[in-house]
Amino acid sequence: MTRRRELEGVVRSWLHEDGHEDADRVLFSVLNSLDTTPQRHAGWLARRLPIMNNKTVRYGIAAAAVLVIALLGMNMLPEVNLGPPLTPSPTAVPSAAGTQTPAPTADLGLPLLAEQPTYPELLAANTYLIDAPFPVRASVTVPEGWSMEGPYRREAVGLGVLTESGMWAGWGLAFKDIDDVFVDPCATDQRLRDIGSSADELVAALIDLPGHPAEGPVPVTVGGLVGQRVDLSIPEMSAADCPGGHLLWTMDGLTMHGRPGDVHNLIILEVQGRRLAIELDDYAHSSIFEMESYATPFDPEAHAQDLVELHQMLESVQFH
Amino acid sequence: MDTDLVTRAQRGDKEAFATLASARADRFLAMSHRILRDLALAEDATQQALLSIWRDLPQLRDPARFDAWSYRLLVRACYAEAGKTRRWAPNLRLLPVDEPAVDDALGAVIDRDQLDRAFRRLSIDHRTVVVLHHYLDLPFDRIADVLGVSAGTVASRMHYAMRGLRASLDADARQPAKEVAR
Repeated sequence: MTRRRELEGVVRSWLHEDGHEDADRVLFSVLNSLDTTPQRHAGWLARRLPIMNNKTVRYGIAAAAVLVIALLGMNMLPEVNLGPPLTPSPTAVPSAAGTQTPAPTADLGLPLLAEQPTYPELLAANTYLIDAPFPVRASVTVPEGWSMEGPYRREAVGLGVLTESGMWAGWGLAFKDIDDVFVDPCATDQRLRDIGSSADELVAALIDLPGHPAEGPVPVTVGGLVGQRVDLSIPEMSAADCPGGHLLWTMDGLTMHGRPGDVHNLIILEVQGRRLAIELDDYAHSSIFEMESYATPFDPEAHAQDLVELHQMLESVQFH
Repeated sequence: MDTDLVTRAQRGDKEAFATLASARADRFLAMSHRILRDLALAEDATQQALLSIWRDLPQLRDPARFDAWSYRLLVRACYAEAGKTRRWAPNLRLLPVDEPAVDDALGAVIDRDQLDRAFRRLSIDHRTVVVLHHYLDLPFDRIADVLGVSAGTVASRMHYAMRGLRASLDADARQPAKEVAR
């Protein structure tokens, strides 16, 4: 108990001795945004109307509308081609309301994802080119309502959806350049396993992570290339049992920590000799992030429509 | 806390909101900076929280609960920022160093870098309760109110947070490695 109190005293002093933060810039930005940020008054009104307070009814109507849109959209889509890479169409899909259609690049006729706005802005529905500084060149067709996790980085490019209230949902897919995998996610020695540059070595390292069960590898095809899918689970463990903090892998020298209860679904490919990992949240239910961050209840269909779009995005990926 | 200001801001009075926000912005930024350990993320969280407060203020039924409610929105914004980094953008850089291992005399040997490293290894849940309790001096029942969990859960998180800190500091002492925010 004495040692704990001593540690608490050290922590308290440390927290209070950190530098003074000046929020003037943030405050200025917020106050300038008030005119374009309407207040929400609908909550009280909805609660006063019992039938409107029926979550099932409201979600049912929303889900039905979404389903109709999804079915219409799917019927209008061309048949998915998982064969050899096709020359991407330079024709832009109509942009989302309130967003601007980006200017195309000269070579492929595709706008660069690196030049697009990031969360909390939405991307215009379009086919984008993932390019430098990310090491693999690929295109992906992004539907309406998706956002890019910013800033655009060399080690990972994430595309995600927002919650109903416009917050980051922590659900989507990401293109990753993984360098090394930790030998043991819970070990405090933080030893890294050299995984060379092949997809096989990364797959093997993920499957070998002690105490962290992985399913796979299962062959999958993306952009005409055959890759391997591995689903890595992060178990619930106490901090004492996993003092390393679920250390998974490094990307450009940065460490990726796993979150207990989460599952990392990875498709690992080799694109023109370069290893690429695509991480997917390809499940329909609420993400752990939503449940933890916003205290949203588990909803098995929270991302049913997003899942359809995610699969369409994955099937749209082409390598260049 | 001036409930009249809150009531006026609920009705769309921007000056009233500006007064409320100005009085809290520095503290919000300080709190989110300590939770997230990254000033850029903390600024984003603070901005998101203040805008959420403005947007959702009409839905706050009891103006007297403004402070607890606003802290809750700030914590959610911090979780959102932390989640972005957790899911897709790890924010720790590993660099080997040749520092000597620390001995067991706690107060004398733990420096700011060691604490920072150990603190970053905690989950966002644990970092949040530590900051709310040891920086904002909120008692467990008020933290429970802010987080929407039971006081027992707060106590449990604090317990494991301190155990995690201790474990990380001990591990750091045995096998030094340096993690630097990008």
